[in-house]
Amino acid sequence: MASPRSVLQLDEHRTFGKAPTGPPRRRLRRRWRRLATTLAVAAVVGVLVAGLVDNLEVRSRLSAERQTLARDLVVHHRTAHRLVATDSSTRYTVIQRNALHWTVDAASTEYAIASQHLSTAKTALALQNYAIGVLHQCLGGVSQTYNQLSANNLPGAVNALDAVAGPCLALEGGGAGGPVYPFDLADPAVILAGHTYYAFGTNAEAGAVQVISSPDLKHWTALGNALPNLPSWAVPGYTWAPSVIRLGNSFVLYYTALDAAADEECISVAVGTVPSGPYVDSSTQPLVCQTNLGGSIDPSPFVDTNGNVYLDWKSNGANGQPATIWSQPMNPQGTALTGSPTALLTPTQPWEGGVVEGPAMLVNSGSYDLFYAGNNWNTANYAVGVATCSGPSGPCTKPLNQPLYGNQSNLVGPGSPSVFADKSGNIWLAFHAWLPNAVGDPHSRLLFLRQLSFSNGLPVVNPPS
Amino acid sequence: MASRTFRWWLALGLVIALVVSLGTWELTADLGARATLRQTDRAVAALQQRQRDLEVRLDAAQARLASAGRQRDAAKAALRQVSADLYLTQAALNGANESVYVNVGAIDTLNTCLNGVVEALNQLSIGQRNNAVQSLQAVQQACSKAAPSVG
Repeated sequence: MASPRSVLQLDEHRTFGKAPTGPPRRRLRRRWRRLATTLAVAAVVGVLVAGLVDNLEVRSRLSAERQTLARDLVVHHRTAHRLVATDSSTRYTVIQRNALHWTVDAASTEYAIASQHLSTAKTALALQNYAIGVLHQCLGGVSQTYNQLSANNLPGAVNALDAVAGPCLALEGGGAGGPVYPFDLADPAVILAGHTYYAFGTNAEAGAVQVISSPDLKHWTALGNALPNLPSWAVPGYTWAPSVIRLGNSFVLYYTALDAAADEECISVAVGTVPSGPYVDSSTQPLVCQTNLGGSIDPSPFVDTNGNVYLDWKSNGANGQPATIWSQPMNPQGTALTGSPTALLTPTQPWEGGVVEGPAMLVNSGSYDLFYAGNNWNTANYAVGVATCSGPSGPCTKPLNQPLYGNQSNLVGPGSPSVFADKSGNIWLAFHAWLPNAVGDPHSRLLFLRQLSFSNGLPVVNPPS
Repeated sequence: MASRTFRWWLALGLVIALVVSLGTWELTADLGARATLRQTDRAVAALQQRQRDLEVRLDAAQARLASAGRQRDAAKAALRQVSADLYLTQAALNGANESVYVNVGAIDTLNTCLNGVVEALNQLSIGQRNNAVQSLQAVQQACSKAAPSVG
């Protein structure tokens, strides 16, 4: 069998080398066939080559795309890694931030607390420095007073005390319902004369009857001794519970003194032309002295609405008789008793502890209120009571079964009440009391003032304003 | 003659078979390559989309990091300030407390002095001069210590 090349060579030889042996029609058809075959082969080869080229191009593009993919993957992985790292850093930073915030919050809280403590400490320090300053002022005045007393200069001592009354009063709570005068002023009685208030108190180094004055019931000034000379029958240094009333152009002072002859407490009277004194007692014997009832003390004058004058007082009680509050009419000058005494009140309630004393009568809108003190004066049980009376001479009943006014946060054992009207007609209760933690002799009994109001016909002690 | 024709057709058949095989192989390879190319194109597109998403997330994360960093720095600054204030306040508080402590002692001494003087005055007011002197002597040391000018 001949190869295709041999066949071609054979055909070429026949076509171009030598003359064809077959008929022309066959030769022509053969030539066409060869041409068609050649063209077909060329076409096929061309298609194959074109396909091959296209394939190569596709593969080239594929290779490029694969490289792009690989490069993008690397970039993607790097980006993802950066993202993870950034997230991690963010978490760490947030943790740091939160921890710092917590620390700042804690420090801020601590700072706020420290600032508050500092403010409190500064306030305390300022108050302390103020208190120390006030203490120095008060002590300085007291020291001067002592020096004056040592030199027997009584007026100088009074002036020295008066000069430091404000600082000493501040130390004892003045201005906040505390005492209005820093020094001992027991059994006080207050009157208004003109535009000035005068308060009188039991004997002290300042004198037999202390007298102080004030223009406003807040700031008080020591005036000295209202009773420089005692009657001959009275023992010096034993004068208590003064009361003063204006009758006509005179001021009449009632007080308790120790009768040397009877060795009993008795009541006397002195007269002055000005409220601060001096008052002159020209008596040769006591005005009241119930020796059979244990003596008479705590005189308190009272002028009824019709102008009649009365004197109320207390008998100490003796010979089986209880302490009793009495009332007796007086002459219009208030210097002598008239008629006979009437018993107004005796102790009947447990809180009184068997004692009623320090009477003070008030007529208000036709109602007679008798203020008094009950229980032991030298204890914290001392308190102020009230009774309602039909008139100056009684009879009286006790509307309460307890004190009208007892211990408060800033005072203890209030008692020895007196009543007076201020410039506006307001009714006030004056009394003495101990300071808390300073109860009983020899501590001071200090002057307190409270305004009164009335509810359902009964007096009410208003809280300090 | 028959033999030559047969050989011719045989050769032609072989050539055609070869060409068809080559074409088929080429076509198959081309189709496969194109399919792979399309797949790769899609993978590249998807990856690029993911890359863009990732970059957006990265930008957001970096913004968060920067914000957290600023907040942390601000907190550090605040902490430094508060710590400084706290230190100064505590120092002032210690000083004030020390002064208060000292004052308490001074006030106690002054009160002791004053109480003695008041007691003496009260005793004087009732004529007990000897007791008053004793009361004053009892507080003389306190008065001298608290207020030399007074004592």
